[in-house]
Amino acid sequence: MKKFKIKIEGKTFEVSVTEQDKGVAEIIVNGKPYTVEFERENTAPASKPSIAKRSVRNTVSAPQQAAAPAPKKPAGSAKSVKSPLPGSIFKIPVSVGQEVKRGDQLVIIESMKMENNILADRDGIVKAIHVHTGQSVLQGDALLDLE
Amino acid sequence: MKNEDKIKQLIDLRVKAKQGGGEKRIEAQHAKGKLTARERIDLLLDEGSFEELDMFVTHRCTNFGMEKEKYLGDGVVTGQGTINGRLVYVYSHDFTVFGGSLSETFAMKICKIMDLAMKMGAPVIGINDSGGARIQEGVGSLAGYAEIFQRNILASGVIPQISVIFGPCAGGSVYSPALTDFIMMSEENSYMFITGPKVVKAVTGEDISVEALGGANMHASRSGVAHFVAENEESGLATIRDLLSYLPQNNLEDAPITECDDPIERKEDSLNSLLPENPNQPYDMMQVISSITDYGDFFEVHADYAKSIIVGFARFDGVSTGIVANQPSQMAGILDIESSRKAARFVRFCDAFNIPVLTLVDVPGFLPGSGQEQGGIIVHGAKLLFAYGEATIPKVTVTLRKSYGGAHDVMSCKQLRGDFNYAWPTAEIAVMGASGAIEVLEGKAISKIENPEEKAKFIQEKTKEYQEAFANPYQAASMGYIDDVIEPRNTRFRVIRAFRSIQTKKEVNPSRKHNNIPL
Repeated sequence: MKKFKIKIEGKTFEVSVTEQDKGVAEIIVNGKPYTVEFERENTAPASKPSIAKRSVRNTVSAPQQAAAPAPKKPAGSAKSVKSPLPGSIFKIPVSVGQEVKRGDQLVIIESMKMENNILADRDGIVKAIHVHTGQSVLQGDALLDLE
Repeated sequence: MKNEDKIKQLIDLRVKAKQGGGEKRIEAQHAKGKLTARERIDLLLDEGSFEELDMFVTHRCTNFGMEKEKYLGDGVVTGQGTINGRLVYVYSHDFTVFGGSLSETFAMKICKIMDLAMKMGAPVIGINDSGGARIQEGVGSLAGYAEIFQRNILASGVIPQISVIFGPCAGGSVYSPALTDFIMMSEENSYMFITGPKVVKAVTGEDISVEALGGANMHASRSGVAHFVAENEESGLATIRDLLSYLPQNNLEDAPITECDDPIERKEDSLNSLLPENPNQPYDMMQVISSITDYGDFFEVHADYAKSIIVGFARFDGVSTGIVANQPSQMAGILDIESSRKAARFVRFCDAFNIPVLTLVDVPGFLPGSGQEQGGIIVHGAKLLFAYGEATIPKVTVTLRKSYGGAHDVMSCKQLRGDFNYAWPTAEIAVMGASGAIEVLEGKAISKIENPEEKAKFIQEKTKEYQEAFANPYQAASMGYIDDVIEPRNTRFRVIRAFRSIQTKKEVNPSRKHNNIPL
C-alpha cells in the first residue's frame, strides 16, 4: 500500500493506493474507497502521482501515453469522453447506468460564457461520471465513460 | 508497310496503351475497390471530352534490366478535357504500371500539362495513386518530383490546383498535393504520410496502423490536410466537378455566374426568432447559412476539421461567394489555432481567385490556455487577421451576436477594409464580456465592500449597467464601425444588395516582392 497527501485547489486529500491487478487498483480517498483503472507509463513506477491526481472521482484515466502491452480493460470496452475545451461543468443531464443514443447530450460545459453541448458520438451506456457540476475542467480531461 | 497497315499499327498501339499494366493488374485494382486511371478521368470529365497527350511516352531507364520492361504512357495518363464545358487539365496516376511510381518521363508528362494549364489559364486536377519514386531511376525520379513542385508553387494563386488521393501517397509525393489548393481523399484505400508505419516503428517504437497514421478520416478531422473525404471514387469525382463550378478558371477571371430563380428579396422570418433568448446558449449557424444562400445550398470545405468555424462556398443571386462563419454549437464557436488556420487559408484562396467573402460573426473570443499559447495562437490568429486585412475582394460582414475583443477585430471588422459591416439587433460588440469588464473597471470598489450580499448586489448592478451600455450594436454603429443594424429576416436581401454594389470594387495593396504573412 502506498500513501499520498494531495492538495488540489487548496483542499487536502489523503489517498492510499493498493494495486489489485494489472491496470486496476483499490484507492481510498479521505476514507472513501474507489476502484480505479489506469494505464501505466513505460518507465514510471506504479503509483506515479499522476495516477492519484484525479483520484477525487471514482475512476481515473491516467496519461494517454501507450504502455507497451495494452492494459487489460476489465469493464468491457468503456471509452472515456474527453472535454474538447476548458471550462466549468454546467449540467450533467445523464446518470450512471443510463442508456444513451448517438447525438444525445452527455454534459454541458460552460466555456467563454457559452454553453457547450458534449454529445454522445455513439450509442452506449454511461459507465461512470468523473465530474460534478461546477467543477473546472481542462481540455482533454475525461468527463465520463461510455460503454 | 502500306498506309493501311500504318493506320492499323496506330490503332493497335492505342489499344495497348489503354491496357496500362495489363488485364491482370487492372483486375487487381478493381478487386481493391479502386478504379483505373482512365476510368477515373472518364468520370471526372464531360463525356467524350478527354484528349490524351503523351500516350506513347516510355521511360529511358536502363538500370536493373528496366530497358526490357516498358509500358506505353509510363504509368500516368495526362491530357485535357472539360468539366461543365470549361477547360481543365488532368493527370491520373496509373497504379497498374510499376505501382504508379514516378519516373523522370512520368514527371515530364505531368509538367507538360501543368505548363499548358498555366499558359491557357485553366485548372489542374491531379489524381494520385502512386507507390512513390521509381527507385530504379535514382535521383532522376527525385528531380522529377521537384520539377512538379516548382510548377505547383508558380501556379499557386494563378490557376486552381486540386489534388485527389485515391491510393497511396507517401514520402516526397505528399508535397505536390500539399502545395495545391484542395485535397480530397477517398475514405478507403487512400493514405498520406511523410514516413510510413514501418519507419515510425523502427525509429520511435510506436505501433500504428496505416489508417490511424495517414488515413482520410485522420487527415480530414485532425491534421486538416484533407479538405474533403469521398465515400467512394464516383461521389468524390462528382464533388470535384461541383467544387469547380464555384471557381474561376484563373486569377484574372471571375467565377461563372449561374441563373438564379430564388428571389433575392426573400424574407426568412425564422431568422428573427432563431437566436436563443439567453446569449449563453448555442444554436446552429448552418441554419443561418442555409436560410440566406441561393436555394439554401452550401458547399462546405473542411467539414470535419476545426468545427468551431465554418468555411465553404455558396451563391448569392448566382454569384459564387465564400462564407466564413463562427459555429456557436461547436466548441462555443471560439477561435483557436486550428480554426484560425482553416479560415485564413480559405480567405486567402478566395482573395487569390476573386471570390467575394461573406463573414457571419458570433465569436466569444480566442480560446484561452497554455496549450494554445504554447502552440503559437498569437501567430496563427494573426494569419486570419492578415488574410482579411490583405484581401481586396468584396467583403461583407454580418455580426449576429457576440463579437468580443481581439476576435472582433480578426473577424473582418470595418477597419480591415470591410466594405459593408452589418449587425443584427442582438449583436454585442465590446472589448470584453460584462462580468470580466466589471472585474477590471470596478475591482477597487468591489474589494472595498465587505458584506458579501451587498457585494453581489453591487456587481449585479454594475454588470447590468455595462450590458445596457455595451452589449448591443449601437455603440459600434454610433462610431460608424457598423454601417447598419438590420432585421435578421432581411439578411439575404441586404447581403446581396451590398455585394452587387461592390462588385466593381478596386483596391490595391502596395507593390512589393510579396508580403510576409506570419506562417
